[in-house]
Amino acid sequence: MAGQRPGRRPLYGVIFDHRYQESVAFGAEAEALGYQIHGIGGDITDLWYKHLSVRWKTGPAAIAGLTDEPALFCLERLAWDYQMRVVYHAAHDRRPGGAVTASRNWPRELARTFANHTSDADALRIGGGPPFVMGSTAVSDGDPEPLVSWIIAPRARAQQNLV
Amino acid sequence: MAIPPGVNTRDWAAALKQFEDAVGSQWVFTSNEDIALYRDAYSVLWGEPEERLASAAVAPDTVEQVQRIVRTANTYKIPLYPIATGRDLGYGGSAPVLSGSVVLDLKRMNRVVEVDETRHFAIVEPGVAYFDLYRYIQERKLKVWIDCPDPGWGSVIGNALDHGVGYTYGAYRDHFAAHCGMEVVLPSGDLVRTGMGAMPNASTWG
Repeated sequence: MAGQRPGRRPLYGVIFDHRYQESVAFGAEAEALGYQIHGIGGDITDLWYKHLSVRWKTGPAAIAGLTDEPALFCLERLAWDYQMRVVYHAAHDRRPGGAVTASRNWPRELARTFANHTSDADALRIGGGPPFVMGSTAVSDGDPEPLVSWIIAPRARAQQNLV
Repeated sequence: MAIPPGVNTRDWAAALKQFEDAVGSQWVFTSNEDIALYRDAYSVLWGEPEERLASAAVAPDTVEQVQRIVRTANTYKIPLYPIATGRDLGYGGSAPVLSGSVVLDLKRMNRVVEVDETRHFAIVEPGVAYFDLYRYIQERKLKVWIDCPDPGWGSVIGNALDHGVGYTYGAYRDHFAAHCGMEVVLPSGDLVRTGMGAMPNASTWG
């Protein structure tokens, strides 16, 4: 994958949801950083059938995204069968005046943070320990739909037993 | 780690050892992190003391391994809770109905044995999801049509055992009524076949 630095754990793909402008901005920044991006419209079927199921049969491959919870729910459950886990998860309150709306550039900053921290040195504590936590983790009960940023990656034990 | 109800620690340890001998230690899951994967995401008892939780999970790859696991469970009176993919969520999930059960996770048995486009049947292992069957058919350009339900990630066998229905054939029969034979591991560990596949030298089974 283009844009990787030496020693970085490659992200197979970065997932965004074209229904949410923040997610689109996140995906655009990830693409600019050299990552392969995959757009969804809530439904992950196409992403799963054409890409992830094919890739994960060959071995573990981390993915990251900024989506809503239902999309992450599906991807997480599918990833389990390939011995992968959600290793980072943060919910972003998008209500007016909420923490993340203070910075209109937060999706791009998020993509850059992912790119800077996804390393083999376990900056994300992949393989053990609690996931690292970024700011803006308040969950909204109202509109607009909260978005979640996440990384799915193989755990240390998991890499031994791929289906 | 929880222990199955009515099982002492010595028998539990012996059973886990036998499970590992049967499938390999990497396919016997006992850590809290692994067991948490089998929780019911929709449980109304989520986080409550009454929530149904597994004690362990075992993932065999062959029928023979299933037989060994079942025989061990029978020996030590350990309750088993079999799941196929554990994702036919409209009908249930991967959490056991009795806390402390060992989940018999059949996800690794995911081979499509045969799809016959002339007589229109498929022989599949329990871990085959509708997505898998669809891919098999598409790759071989077979002229058959799956009566697919909503959860494409769900097991074909699991859906049938739950009397699931699909979008194109549901008015005629559910998927259990559409099956024509099964290979079943009994609680004793014995293997039986039903339907025409049970006949000696049957040519209708793979």
